[in-house]
Amino acid sequence: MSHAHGSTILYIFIYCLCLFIFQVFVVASPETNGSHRQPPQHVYHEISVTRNKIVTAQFECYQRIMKDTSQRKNGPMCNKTWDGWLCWDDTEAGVTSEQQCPDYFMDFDPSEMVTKICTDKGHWFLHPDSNRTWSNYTRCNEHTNEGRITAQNLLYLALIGHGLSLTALFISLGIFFHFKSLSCQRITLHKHLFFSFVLNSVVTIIWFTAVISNQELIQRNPTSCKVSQFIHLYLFGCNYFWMLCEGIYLHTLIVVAVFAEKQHLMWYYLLGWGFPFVPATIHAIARSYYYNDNCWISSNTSLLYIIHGPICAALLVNLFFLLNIVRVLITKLKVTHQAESSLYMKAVRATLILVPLLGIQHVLLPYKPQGRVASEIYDYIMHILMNYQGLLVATIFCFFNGEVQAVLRRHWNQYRIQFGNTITHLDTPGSASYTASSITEVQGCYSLDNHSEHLNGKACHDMETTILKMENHFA
Amino acid sequence: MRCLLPVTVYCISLFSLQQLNALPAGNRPQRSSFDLLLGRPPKQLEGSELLAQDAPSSSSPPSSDGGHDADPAHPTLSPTSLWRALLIRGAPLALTETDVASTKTGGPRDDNDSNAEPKRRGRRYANGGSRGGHPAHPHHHGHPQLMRVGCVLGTCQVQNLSHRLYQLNGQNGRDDSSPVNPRSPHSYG
Repeated sequence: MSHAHGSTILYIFIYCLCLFIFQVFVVASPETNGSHRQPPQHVYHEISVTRNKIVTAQFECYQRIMKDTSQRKNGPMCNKTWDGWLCWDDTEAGVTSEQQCPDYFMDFDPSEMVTKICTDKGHWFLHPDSNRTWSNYTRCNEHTNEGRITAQNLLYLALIGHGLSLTALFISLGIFFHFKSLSCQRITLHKHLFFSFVLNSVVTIIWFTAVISNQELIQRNPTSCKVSQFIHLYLFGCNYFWMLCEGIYLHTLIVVAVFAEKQHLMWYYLLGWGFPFVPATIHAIARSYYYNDNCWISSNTSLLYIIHGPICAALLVNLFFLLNIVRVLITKLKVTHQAESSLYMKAVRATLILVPLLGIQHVLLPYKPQGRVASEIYDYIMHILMNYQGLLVATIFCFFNGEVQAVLRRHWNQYRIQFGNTITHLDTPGSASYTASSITEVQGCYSLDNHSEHLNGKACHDMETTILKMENHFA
Repeated sequence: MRCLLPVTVYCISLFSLQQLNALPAGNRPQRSSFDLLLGRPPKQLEGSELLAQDAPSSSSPPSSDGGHDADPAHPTLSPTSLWRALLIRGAPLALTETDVASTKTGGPRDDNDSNAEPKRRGRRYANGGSRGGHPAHPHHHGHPQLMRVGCVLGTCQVQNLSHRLYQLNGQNGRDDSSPVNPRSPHSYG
């Protein structure tokens, strides 16, 4: 009964969360409309933004040079200097100084680097052709257009992926909620995972379409914008922690506690919906103290590891679970003396099915490579894996799920029998057999949950069937 | 169920490790390494940005700043006179909200809440940063180039993409291309 009570509280909590999210975003959007109405006030002549920025940077640079109080180290040094675009700090001889490209021009890519060489003698590098000091800005406008196109493509990829995922997830959730015969612990966990996917997708789509593209909103930097970033990160975390929950559940079911009592879902709810609050909150606090940029949009801060560190830890734990599950699966299947090939096929199949559910793909490609082409390919792969994961999970665990298919078939046949009897009698024998098979399959779900009650005595034999059953239940 | 607790504990401990990496750094004497770790807040020099923006647009002679775009051969035409001229105009820092709005010429990176947190801004300003517009990451000797600020993990790609889109969108309104080809030996330096 505590389970039912817990889930009621949970649904109320989720409902409140949804309301809150929509309020934040609805509050955010009228403000943007308001700012549109503001008449443009050009008091002074048109001074190009570019020139403004350069002059500002120059001013700050000279101010820094003036304030220079740092004691000189021994040995030759290149002095602080303003090179016309960027400010360069004191640099030791023989060191190449690096900075990000300025965003003064449309064809400059701010994510690229500028370098300036301090020669061994302690002079800034002179270009051999002109014999004047020279900073290497060549990388700034080398691949800017390609970079823009890639970013746009990734955005479209993300939006389409989340859109498709949302559709699939909504249908799956509809099926799970409509057919009560499906409900068991595993499906309940699936529901929560799917729901976290839905929330994450919704928030991500809103974030990309309403916040990122709205420069004015970001400049005004309203609190609602930061709150929406907080929610975005929280739900992002929720999604991955629900994957961890799925991993823990399966692992507990298969490896740890085949004979244990029914699992308490309350802990899963706490881990899935509750725990991600902690990193999200700490990130928000740390961000407001140490890196309070507009809308907390920048990714140039290591504070983001507060969010992504725990997520990666969760994914690593999931990887361990996956390996352990596959190990147990293979061990148990070996006992049944199956042919080697079919055994490994089954193991591979289980692995492939579980990878998207547990989010393992993120662990397999953990770091972004350095090269330009390599990192671009990596970007595409990661975005496809990340944004289409909801679609994949919904497809595998709902549409390809044996129980769901059986239930759907049964209902479809019932529907046909009810309304189609007058039209045709041809298909009835087939539908009857479908119904029979589906009933056993649906019961499989319950037997899986309740086998603890009637498995205690007859250990080994039933264990194998459980594993085999499990194997069927993955899909 | 039995393994749920250790896993949670494991996650929490990993997580607190993350914290240890980030927080105690604040107490370290070298602010520079801390700044490098966190990256630099782009807003650091808001005040001076406003100040500088106001100055050249209102009265400073076009020759002093016009030199950059027109004549790359002398990028630092009259540096001292420029910053002096700008320093003297300390008053605009105390602009009211509406004045701030009127001073803005549509530069995408300035923001309105500059009056909201004067204290914090002052502190950051004192800490120093190379430029207001972008977090700059000057190369420090103690840190090898490996030290990449920002998130390199696979899951960070959403944040990275959104930041990148913001950067690229934010460039609208800038001059189309640089006046000098960076490859030219007479380019900036």
